Amino acid sequence: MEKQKRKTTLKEFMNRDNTVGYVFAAPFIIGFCALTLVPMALSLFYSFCSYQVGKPAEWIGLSNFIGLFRDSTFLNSLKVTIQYVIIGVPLKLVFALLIAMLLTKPTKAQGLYRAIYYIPSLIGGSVAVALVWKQLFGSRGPIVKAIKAMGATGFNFFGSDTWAFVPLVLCNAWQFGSSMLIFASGLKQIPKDYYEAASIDGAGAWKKFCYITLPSLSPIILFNLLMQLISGFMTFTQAQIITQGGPNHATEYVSLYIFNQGFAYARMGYACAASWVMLIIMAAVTGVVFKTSKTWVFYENED
Amino acid sequence: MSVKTKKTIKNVLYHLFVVAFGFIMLYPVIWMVLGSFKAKSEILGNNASFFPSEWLIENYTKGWKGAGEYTFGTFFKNSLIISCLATLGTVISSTMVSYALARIKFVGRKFWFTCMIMTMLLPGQVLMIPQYIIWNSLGMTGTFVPLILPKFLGYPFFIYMMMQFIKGLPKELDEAAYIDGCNKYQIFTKIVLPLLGPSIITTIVIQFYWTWDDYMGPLLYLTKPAKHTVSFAIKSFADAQGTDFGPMFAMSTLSLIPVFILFLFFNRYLMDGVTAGSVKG
Amino acid sequence: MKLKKVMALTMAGMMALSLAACGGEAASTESSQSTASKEESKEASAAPAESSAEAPAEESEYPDYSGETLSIMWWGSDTRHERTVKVIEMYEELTGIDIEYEYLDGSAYWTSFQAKMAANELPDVFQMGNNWLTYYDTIYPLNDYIADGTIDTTNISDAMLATTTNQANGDITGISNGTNARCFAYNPAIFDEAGVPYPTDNWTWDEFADACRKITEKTGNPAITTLEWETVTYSTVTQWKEGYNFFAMDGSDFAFNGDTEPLVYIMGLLTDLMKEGCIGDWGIQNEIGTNIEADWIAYGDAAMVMLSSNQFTALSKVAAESGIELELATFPRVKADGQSGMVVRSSQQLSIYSGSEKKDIAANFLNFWVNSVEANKILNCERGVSISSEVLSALQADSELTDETTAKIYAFIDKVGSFPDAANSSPAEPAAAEEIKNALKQTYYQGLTSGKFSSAQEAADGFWAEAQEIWKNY
Repeated sequence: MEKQKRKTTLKEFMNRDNTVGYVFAAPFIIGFCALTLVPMALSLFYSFCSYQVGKPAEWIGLSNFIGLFRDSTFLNSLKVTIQYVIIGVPLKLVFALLIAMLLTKPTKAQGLYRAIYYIPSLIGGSVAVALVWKQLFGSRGPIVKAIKAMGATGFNFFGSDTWAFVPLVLCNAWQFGSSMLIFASGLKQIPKDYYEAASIDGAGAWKKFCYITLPSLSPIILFNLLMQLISGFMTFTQAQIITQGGPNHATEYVSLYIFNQGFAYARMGYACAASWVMLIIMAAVTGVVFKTSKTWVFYENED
Repeated sequence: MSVKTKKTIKNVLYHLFVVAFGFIMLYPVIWMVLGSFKAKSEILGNNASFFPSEWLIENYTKGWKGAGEYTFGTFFKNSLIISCLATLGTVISSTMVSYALARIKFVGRKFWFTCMIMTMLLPGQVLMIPQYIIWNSLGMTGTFVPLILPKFLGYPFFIYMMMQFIKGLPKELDEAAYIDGCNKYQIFTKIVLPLLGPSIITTIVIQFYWTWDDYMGPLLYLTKPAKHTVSFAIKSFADAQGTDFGPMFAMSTLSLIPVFILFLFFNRYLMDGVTAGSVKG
Repeated sequence: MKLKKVMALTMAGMMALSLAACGGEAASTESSQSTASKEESKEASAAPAESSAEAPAEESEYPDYSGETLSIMWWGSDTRHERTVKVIEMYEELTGIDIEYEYLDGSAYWTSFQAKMAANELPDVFQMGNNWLTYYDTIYPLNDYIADGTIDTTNISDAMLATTTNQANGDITGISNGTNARCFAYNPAIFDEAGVPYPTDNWTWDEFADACRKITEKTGNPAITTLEWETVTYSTVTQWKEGYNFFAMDGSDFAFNGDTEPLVYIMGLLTDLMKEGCIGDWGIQNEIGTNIEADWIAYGDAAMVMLSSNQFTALSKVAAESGIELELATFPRVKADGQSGMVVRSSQQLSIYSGSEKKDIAANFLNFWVNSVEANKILNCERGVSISSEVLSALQADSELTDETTAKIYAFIDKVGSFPDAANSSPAEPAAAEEIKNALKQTYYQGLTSGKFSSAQEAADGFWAEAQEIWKNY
């Protein structure tokens, strides 16, 4: 009798929302506490210290942060990063969504087409890409030659403060595969009968896109937007291997700046401070996106 | 012009556009693949032609051999082990955690969700050293563990992605199952997991090549030649003072093959009409 | 006092080495560069090989380290990896030791190094650059091992040891992997075509500018594509006035009294040339980067290049494929009879980790590394010209190892070593050097060409102010 009771209690306990939630969330919680929390806390601590890797940290209060806001290179890196995000993120998202829609058209070649469009993303940010990009957009590459043929003598991407970011933005947009794939699986989740019903009502392609595709896809759009914002703010590899931040700091994005401070100049405390400034800015941007998302993201079920 | 011809013309235009644009997209890749058959001077020189003047296979043999006692055979094996296990870990942990965060109303859900978003906001460069120290104190540096185990403990990008997909699933399904006597664990395995099919496959494809291409992880944890991954070994060709371009392109080309095959295999399941993943609202 | 002594030794040693290594052929400075080098190479290959006979005896000296392990880490290109691994295997065979090695490319190396340093897990032996002041705590000084003969320096001159010595306290921080000089390479054919005389050993910046303009006018291409901006700038400071140096010998301060005149001079001269198209613009500079084999000179499009002398081998090899033969030249000077601004430096060094538990074995390995003729026949000065006179003469005696290009490098280093001011530079870069270097190029040179600064004076003043500001952070 008593045994029976204990058993039901255990069963009940296991089925409580709190228990189920923590059981399923356990991997993340363990990982977060064991592997992320301490490093994050340490980096916050170091941001108030003069710290060089391998040497003891020395508390210096707010000096790093004050230094950052007086550091024209850092302020410039914030500016160019924001510029990169504003131009690069919408470009990549629109591009990924268009291609995803283009390639959901049911044809026999669909698989092949998707594969072709996906290959660039598979290469990743390797050195090979950097070299190819330098050749393509270089002063003797086909693109500059074409621009010069139109009369812009002396034009050159990597030598220009104004244009150096263009190859980087294009390289980022070129590797749109993961966003495209996520859009494509989102598109696939939209029930077919929505479209059928709309067709019966005489809706055209544009109307279907605006009234069915976009709202149904909005959770995925939110996701891709947030992730691209974050990765845009953290853009690093391409700038590091293609332009090294130049010329004139025009492509020295915050992550590259942080890396240089932390590793090339061995000023880890300062780099940590820059990271936390970056985190606050990104948290603000993310917060705004979340807040506004309530008005344009539609979930099947609101809770 | 009949409706049919109009449709055919539209079709032809569609295919023409997709192929032409696809070629532009692929051009840099083709350039790289052709480069893997060229001599160094032909890759770097000004008057290089698009096609190699002489098709050199040596880049492949030289590249494959590597610098020390280990060949790319070892590096491919290492990359495969890491990528497969990391992907497996990501799928298991991300489906679980996303189910909890998207469907279960438990105390602290908002808090953990915020923590998860936070972890994505801090630049990885400043976490690298403290994380390295943790793994080192556990005696795990030089093993695959630091690259695999964290994936079993959740990967925020995919957790959040799956959350968005789960939120797109009608809740009535859960409720119906609940009435049929399923508990929350059974709802996860019987309802949510099967319906998450497309996003699980998306996760597999993306996480596999992300891990495959990952460079910073191997750079920190796997610097001994026996443990090198393909991405790391390729980068080793590129020293600032002298880069072996031919072998580097050759191995980059080979490195594309496994991820491409994986994509081809899983892409079938992502295309319309192949799986029954479509959910009726 | 100690500093003065080391400096004096350095000077004397430089002279001694230059005499020893070139086998009495010290008059090469006088004659024209190209012919001198050819003669040198003949001379070198004809010299008798006395030392190679000693090799077997030398090898039996190695102790038995069976069951022991040693870890080592270096950076470099594939060629270097292959050669270094072979030498490691040779040492393993001699001593029975098991060596765990790690190799990385140059940029990855420092990330990995810092992570290992943070975890106190550095390998017993590691390659170190001229930035060793930054990582000073990780390095175990070799003075005791040199004093007790574990590392035999009989054939290594004091000048060579000085290239890795901390001038402030006399600590020997490592064994140099060879010496280098930053220099120019040029294509005589293009100079002929443009009717410009070849660079002499004391050509001036004015002659350089003149040559650039004439060549660019003739070819339509930049005469020189890339420059190592901080090196030309700092060497101009050295050239400006005797006793001037950008950084002090012991790396503790700047050493040019804040005199911005040399900075104004060189910044103005170079940016003018770039604006005229005689020096590659920033786009071209970025495309080529430090990748010497991609430089236009290798394909007959540019007439000059700035490089480190050990890169000359790789560059010449690529150029030869297009039938181009290159020669080495010194930096132009401010005044023909002034300071050369040229420096013979350690390319990199092998250092022993201060936390290593196997320092004795590591020292034995370093001894093998620097003194073994057989090992160095494999390494063959890829990192720089061997610092052991015995090793060097054995290599020079072997015509297979010392081809015409390598002979040019030997002759060149030899010549630079004979310049009175060739040791007149800090062997170590101060910790702030990296950031100052980047500021110079990316903020001030690039700002001057893009019009952010109205004059070279403004850019130079800005740079000097920022350099001092940066210095305070370290």
